[in-house]
Amino acid sequence: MLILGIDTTCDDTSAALVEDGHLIRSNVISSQHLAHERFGGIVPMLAAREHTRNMGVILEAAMHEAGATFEDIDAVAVSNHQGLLLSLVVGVAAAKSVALACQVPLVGIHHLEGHIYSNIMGRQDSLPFPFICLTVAGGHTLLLRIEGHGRYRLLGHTRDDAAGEAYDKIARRLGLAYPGGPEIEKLAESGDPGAFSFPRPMIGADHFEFSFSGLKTAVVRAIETHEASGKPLSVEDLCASFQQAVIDVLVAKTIRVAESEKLSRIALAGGVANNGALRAALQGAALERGYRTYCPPPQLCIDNGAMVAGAGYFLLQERGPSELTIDARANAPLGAWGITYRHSSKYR
Amino acid sequence: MLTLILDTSGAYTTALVARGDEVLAASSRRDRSSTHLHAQIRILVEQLGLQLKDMSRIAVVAGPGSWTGLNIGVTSAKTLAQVLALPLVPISSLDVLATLYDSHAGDICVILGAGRQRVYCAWYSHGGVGRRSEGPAVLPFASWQEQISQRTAIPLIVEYGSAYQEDLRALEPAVQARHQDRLSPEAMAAVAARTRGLTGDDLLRVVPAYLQPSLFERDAATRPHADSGN
Repeated sequence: MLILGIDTTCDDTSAALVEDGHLIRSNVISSQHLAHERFGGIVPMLAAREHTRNMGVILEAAMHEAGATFEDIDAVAVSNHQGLLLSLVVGVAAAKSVALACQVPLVGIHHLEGHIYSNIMGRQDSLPFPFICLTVAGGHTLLLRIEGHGRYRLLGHTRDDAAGEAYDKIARRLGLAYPGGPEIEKLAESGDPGAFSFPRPMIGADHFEFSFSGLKTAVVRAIETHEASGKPLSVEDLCASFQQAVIDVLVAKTIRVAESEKLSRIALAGGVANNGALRAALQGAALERGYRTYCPPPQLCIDNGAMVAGAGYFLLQERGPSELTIDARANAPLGAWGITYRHSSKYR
Repeated sequence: MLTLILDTSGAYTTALVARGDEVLAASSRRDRSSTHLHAQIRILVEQLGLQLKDMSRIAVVAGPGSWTGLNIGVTSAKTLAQVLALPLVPISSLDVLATLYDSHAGDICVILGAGRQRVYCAWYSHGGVGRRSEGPAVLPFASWQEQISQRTAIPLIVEYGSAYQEDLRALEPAVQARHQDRLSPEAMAAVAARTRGLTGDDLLRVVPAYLQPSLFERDAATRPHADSGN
């Protein structure tokens, strides 16, 4: 079964063709970073305009790369829940049009399901249910227990900023290039993670929730203190210290939740899953306890159409096709059990 | 030659099928989010005993109009045309409105609220889309009022939507104003019938006629440093 997956959740326009939920025949991603860079962040109206401009070309490219035609498509999957509403509606309009014109089923998926399934699809080995999934991105930070296809239990989420959101806001304060996450990671590589003593919010709490707003404020105060004193600031040290604080919290809570749930399989997903230091730290901590970690390849961590097509393959069988009247929603409950969680302020 | 025509530029979502400039069937519902557009298309085509592959062209009102509505309409029409390998016919909402008054002897000015006290406008000499004399353009409503006051002949003002209904009433009797809350299927079919279809790269290059940058870009242009977040 060949599924076209479309994702326009935020600022990347993506279309992909995936066969039987595993074989990625194409995964075309058009980044809008240059369009948003001068504003220091994503501008929703501009993102929607770029999606509208690019969608046709991206669809052509996905078909071409896969050596397929629209007649070969068996179903269309689209992220219709969670993201920037103005962006989501463009992908949904395109997906509905392909499904209608090709007379194939449409399947709407929650964008987070795409991230979860980036760990299930395309694997040589298998990742059996149940498992723990830490999904970390600019829009959310969640600890989930994945029970089966489309069935998730929320174990913890952020009470304020998402981890990726804290990265982006600090990068903006430092005047780093957009997007800020990879820039901070790059600078952190040559910095001292112990140079600044930043808080590890709720690291010892007896729950699995997160809070990154206070950490972000502490980092901003450190910048301001240095600016006021006229002392030179080592941006590398600051980035390394901030990043270490984030990683310490994410890893500690993820390991503890795995212990609590008595699960030895831990998957990492979302844009921040591309952070090499986080991957290494989680893998190291998991290995010490005999746990196994799963990380998707980099192209499946960022927002992409392949993960949507992969999720669509499994969820079409689980839930059946969606109606042509499915809507786009900036935030929506996740999965068959309708879990709700905290989103980035940009999705509220 | 059958044309599927889509309009999501305003408060109504409309789909219609036309043979030449004759409307065979139309479906219109008040739905700014255009959630039902594709279901409307499917039902409309089925009711005519047709299939989408029976169409010869796909037309769309490409603007000006609602920013998000245009994104949905243009993306839908472009994708349908792309998948079905049909020409795409982008048409102007202002031209469609002018066509309603083809028989008017004097000048026509079609306007549409563009937000923040601005209007999209286009002028037509002696009615008719074939005689658009100025525009389309976007300008402050006050500047537009100034233009109107300098006209010696009394133009017919056609407003799409009703953002300036009260202001236009205040200008009477210097102007005649009429308001349209939606584009008529017959007028859309008439404009589509005389507009050339685009294929290949020309089709892929079609974008909505926003006529102005986004609010954020406009604001950013007046700020020394832009910041989109908190």
